[in-house]
Amino acid sequence: MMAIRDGGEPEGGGLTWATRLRDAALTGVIALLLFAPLTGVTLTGYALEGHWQRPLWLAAGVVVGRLLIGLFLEARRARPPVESAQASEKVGWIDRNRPFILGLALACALILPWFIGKYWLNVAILALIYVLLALGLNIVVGLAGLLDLGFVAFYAVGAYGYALGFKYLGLSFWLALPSAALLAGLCGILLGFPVLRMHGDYLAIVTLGFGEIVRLVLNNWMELTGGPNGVRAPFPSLFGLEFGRRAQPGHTTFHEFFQIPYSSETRDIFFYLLLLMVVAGMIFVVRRLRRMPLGRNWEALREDEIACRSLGIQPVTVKLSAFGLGAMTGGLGGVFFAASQGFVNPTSFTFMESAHILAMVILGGMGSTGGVIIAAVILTVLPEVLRDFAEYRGLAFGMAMVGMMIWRPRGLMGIRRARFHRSEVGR
Amino acid sequence: MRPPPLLRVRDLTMRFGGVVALNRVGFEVAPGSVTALIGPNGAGKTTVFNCLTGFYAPSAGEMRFHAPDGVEVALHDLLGGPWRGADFASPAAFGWRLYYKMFGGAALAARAGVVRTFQNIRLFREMTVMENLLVAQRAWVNNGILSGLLATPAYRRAEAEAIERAWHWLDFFRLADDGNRLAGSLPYGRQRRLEIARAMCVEPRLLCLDEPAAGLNPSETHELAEWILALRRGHGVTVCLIEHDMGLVMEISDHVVVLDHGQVLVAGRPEVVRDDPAVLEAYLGAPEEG
Ligand SMILES: Nc1ncnc2c1ncn2[C@@H]1O[C@H](COP(=O)(O)OP(=O)(O)OP(=O)(O)O)[C@@H](O)[C@H]1O
Ligand SMILES: [Mg+2]
Repeated sequence: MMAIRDGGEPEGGGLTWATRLRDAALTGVIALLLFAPLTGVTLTGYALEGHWQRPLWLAAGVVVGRLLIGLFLEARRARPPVESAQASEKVGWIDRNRPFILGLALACALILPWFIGKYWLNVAILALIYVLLALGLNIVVGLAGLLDLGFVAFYAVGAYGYALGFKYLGLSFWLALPSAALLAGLCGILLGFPVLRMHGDYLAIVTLGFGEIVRLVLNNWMELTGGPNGVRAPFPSLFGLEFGRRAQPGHTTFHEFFQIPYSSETRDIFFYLLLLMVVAGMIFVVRRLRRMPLGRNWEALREDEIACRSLGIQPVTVKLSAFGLGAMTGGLGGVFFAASQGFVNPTSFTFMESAHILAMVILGGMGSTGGVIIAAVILTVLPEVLRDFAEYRGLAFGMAMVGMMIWRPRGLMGIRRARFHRSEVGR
Repeated sequence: MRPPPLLRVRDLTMRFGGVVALNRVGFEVAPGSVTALIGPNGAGKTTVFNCLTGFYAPSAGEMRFHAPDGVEVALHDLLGGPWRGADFASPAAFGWRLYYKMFGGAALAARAGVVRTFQNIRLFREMTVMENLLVAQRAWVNNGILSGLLATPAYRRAEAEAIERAWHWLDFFRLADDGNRLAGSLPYGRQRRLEIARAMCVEPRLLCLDEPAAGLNPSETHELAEWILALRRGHGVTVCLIEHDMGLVMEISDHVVVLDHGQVLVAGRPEVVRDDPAVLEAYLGAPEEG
């Protein structure tokens, strides 16, 4: 493997002091130019006040930072990227103990709700919903390589599918779960048709537009959707047992049936466990799909569409199945979101939401199931932890992204590929 | 009596705007033969392959593929031709047109048994070597999603067979040690081999190789020649070959078609073609090893 890049000169110390200093000086000048108008002048009443020391300090900070980056980070980055070749060879500690780790994680997730209290339980529910969404988008973007910026549309279809289904058809949560998911999947396929021949940027723009169209329709079709006022979406029941304090006429509540004292937490725990089951099921499906012909075709399509065609694979069916299955997962997430909020309105389905989910997929490493799950959890829980620093959330987010691109350009986890061993049966 | 040709190309014409890339090209490929397509750069060789394998819809002409088992495919029809006004009047015509636009072309050619490799290698670089070979096996791909999710016995059997076949071709091309490496990380020569192995996993009747020896060193080229002959002998594959390496062409081909400026200059047995004055002249600007 070392032979691949042995032509290169010894790097690492390759950057000389002169280039480093020049770089730092240049960055400093740019920083000065930028910061001077931004921070150097303030408006007090009608008078301008100069604070010339401020931009100077900031620029000095930037110069030092740039020098440090030059000294440590770039020297490291300059090493040859043998990573990709090694990625498939390395069997790490995690890989060997995978079943054990998975079991432990599931067990922890199962007992979690009894320990964290109502507030964090709701955060956990939200995190699981995002895991579902990220898994769905990961199929479209990470595996099939179709950059979809309007994923939130399918989330909205799922959520509104449940809310409106309940309002007009009296659809229960349990019926809405499959039917709204199917509806979202259908929408995914419908969107897929016109964009079959598009790639990259064009596809991104069209899907972005689609997402906005769905949101605008929901916002403006007052008669059907109630517009910005939203629609109510009831909480699920368990075999007809309700989770409210008092039952609807003709129904029984959960706590009465089991004769336990009423607590609003019971219902959240139930919801969490239900959602956890669906997420676990989805993880299983995605993990299996990746080893199945369909999942391999998605990845092959991402790698080279022309080669796919030359092997007899129809890109049309492969793309539509990715869109459809991804959208279906998004729709599932939407139903859960609607039920957990008790109410949906169009403000939950803005482009920012799509970007948020996409960030999870990218941070997790496109295509890596484990990485995407971890990224989804981190990106939901961290903002809650850092609630006191809410103003800096965007900053932290951006820095995390930049950091990722520097240290782990292939995502948090890197992608684990299936390994094949020769069976003894063969001969 | 000579068997009927596996492939008959007649009056194949391909225009790109004003450029006539192919002008009434005609040739035949006998079953079980190695047919070489040679000619100077820009002669139109790759364009012939693109037409044969359903990537381009030819402007005119026909390409008929007769498999020995009776399957007959009109390769020139795979892309279904451009839309016409009449299509919008008749629903049936409209439906067929739409079907060909969506599902036609290269994938149909591959399913008929015409499989190609590319001049600039096209592997699934971020997938492992084994995965590259598994993607190519459609018999397995056709299994339903549900049977795969449930891992039914039939599915498992199909999977085991596919893996077995992939190992077979890795052994054949001496790539078995690289089975779990990423395809993009292989050295160049092995990438070429892997592309041919992947094509073989589609179970082609006619294997079209576009400059398979480009960038290989002499010993690798020699190995390649042996492999191509072995494929023909042991696996009943007919080979159509574009190649600039005249040594290789002379060594393995039964029939040589020389293209120049989109037209067939000469066609015949290799030794006849080699001594033909017209061919020498066509190559004079860029003398080859031959
Ligand atoms: N898609 C296309 N659009 C326009 N012109 C094309 C296209 N494909 C091929 N051509 C033209 O057709 C001619 C033949 O090209 P082709 O690639 O078939 O040559 P070739 O014989 O394979 O050459 P080489 O030995 O360099 O691979 C060239 O003049 C090329 O510019
Ligand atoms: Mg060519």
